[in-house]
Amino acid sequence: MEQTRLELVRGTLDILILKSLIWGPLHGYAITGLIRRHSEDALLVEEGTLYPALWRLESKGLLEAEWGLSENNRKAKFYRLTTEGRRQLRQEVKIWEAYAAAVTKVLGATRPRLPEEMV
Amino acid sequence: MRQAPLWRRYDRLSGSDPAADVKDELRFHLESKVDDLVAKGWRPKDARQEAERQFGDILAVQRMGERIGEHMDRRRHLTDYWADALQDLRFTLRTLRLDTGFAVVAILILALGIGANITVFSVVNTILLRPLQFPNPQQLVRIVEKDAKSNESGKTYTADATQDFQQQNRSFQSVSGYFAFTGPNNFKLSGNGQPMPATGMLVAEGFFETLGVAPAAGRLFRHEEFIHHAQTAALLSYPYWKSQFKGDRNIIGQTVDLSDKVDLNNKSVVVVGVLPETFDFGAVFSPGAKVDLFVPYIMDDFRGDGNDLALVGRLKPGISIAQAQNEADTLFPQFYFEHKHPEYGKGYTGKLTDLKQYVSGKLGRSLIVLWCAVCLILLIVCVNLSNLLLARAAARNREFAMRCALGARRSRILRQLLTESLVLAISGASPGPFSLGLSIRARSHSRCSTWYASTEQSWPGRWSSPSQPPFSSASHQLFACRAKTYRSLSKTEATEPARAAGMTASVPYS
Repeated sequence: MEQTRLELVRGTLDILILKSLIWGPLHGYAITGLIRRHSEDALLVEEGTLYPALWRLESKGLLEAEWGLSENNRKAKFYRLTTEGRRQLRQEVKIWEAYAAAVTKVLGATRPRLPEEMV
Repeated sequence: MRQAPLWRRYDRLSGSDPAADVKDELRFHLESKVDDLVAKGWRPKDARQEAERQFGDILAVQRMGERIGEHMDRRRHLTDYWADALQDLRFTLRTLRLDTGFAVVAILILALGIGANITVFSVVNTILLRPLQFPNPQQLVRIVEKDAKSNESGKTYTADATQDFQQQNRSFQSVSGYFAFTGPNNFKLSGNGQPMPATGMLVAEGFFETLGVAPAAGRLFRHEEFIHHAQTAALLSYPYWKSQFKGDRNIIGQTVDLSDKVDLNNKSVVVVGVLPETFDFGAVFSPGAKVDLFVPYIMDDFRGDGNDLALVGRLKPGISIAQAQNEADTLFPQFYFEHKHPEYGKGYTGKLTDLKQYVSGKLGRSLIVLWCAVCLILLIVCVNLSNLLLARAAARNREFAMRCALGARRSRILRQLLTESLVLAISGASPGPFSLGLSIRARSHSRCSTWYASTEQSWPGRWSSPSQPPFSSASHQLFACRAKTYRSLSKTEATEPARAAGMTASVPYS
């Protein structure tokens, strides 16, 4: 099966991270897995960008981190959405939907008929 | 997510470690990936390589993580710190409110000690520490007679001797002086309504030019205003202009009625200018004096009056005081007291002192003694206060024991106590400047303590000089009561027939 691998559009990583944490705390590795599964393997988040993004969101106060035990019994750092993070997510989802709809509309437009054809 | 086992809580017992956190987090990621790959059938060694390959530049990410982690750590510490400080502050205010007596006493003693210190320091600062507010102050020289034990007339020169020196010296750009025997409120300004007492200082030609003082408005005196029977001109000091004339610029060029309190001659005087705010005659030449206006010292009016000019000169560039002193040593002995009466004799001496040194030297030692005294007072205040705090701490033993039992560290309790001390110190220091500091202005410029000649520490003519306690001059500004006794002293002596020079102006109005 031909698989399409998509590069992440700039700025979308944050919203993806926020979204994947909405169901509960997760560690970094689980977040990559979740994004990959939900995008049906289309989006592959690189670790080199994921962790800095996580830390940045944490320092902005959108995420909270806590050490806990992973499902395979290892010490892992779990991230959780803060109230501020939830609010940010709602806002960004709205913006993204409007943006995507606008882009889709433009891309889906059919060629307008030229004036002479209208006659 | 499962709860971490109990021992994990002691992982970072020695404080947080962002670098180790980042390492742990990334290692977990790699190990999970390896596990997944192995589960898919990779060999462990290959799986590890593949995981690392997929990750990319792990060191760069790690460094970035450390940086962000440290930043967050710092911020967290800061937030914690201020939250604790706020809590301490609230607690302090609460305990002080419960113990009002202690708080009031502590704050009062502190305010007293600090206020006294501020008062004295501001005088010390003006007189000893701050440079003179004139351009090239190192060129300014005060000229007095060499004989140190001589009185005020021994520190001044006659009009004739002054003119001789002005004409014959080669070391000075200019030499000028002021009338040393001016008393407070020697003039009456009668404008519209009640005549107001005013203090006028007679200054010789070129006085302000020598000092390098430029007028804030109007102009300085002109040559023709120093000639006998000239139309009298006056320069206003800045504060007097502000208070008496409400800073009205239109006053310049107008005439005001000014009567000399002695002969009560009403003179109409033209206000020619206003001196700048920075010029404070008293601060330089007679600490504590407040001079409202300046009028020309007309040499011809004073030729027969004896020594009455206090001289100040500005050296030519490149001439040292020693060089000028050499010249003065040859010149001064040749000067006659009065040209008209050579039989009065001749022979002055001249000692040149840097003006700043002269100003501070005069009061220096007494001021330092006063300062030390005030510092001792502050020390006593501190001892007192620490005793109070000690007694309080003993009474609060239980509170500390309780806090220790609840897990407070020594440093935490110490911080609490320091916060309390800080609150006390700040609340003790803030009324200081307001109550006592403000009184400096009132005191230092109060009229009753203004005795120009007295700051020269001696009296003119044949007056016996009243013996002065070591810091009487400085105390003039601080303790007006001293000035009062001083005045009664001078009153009794004023009945003596004295030399005409200073008396006319300074005596009867004490």
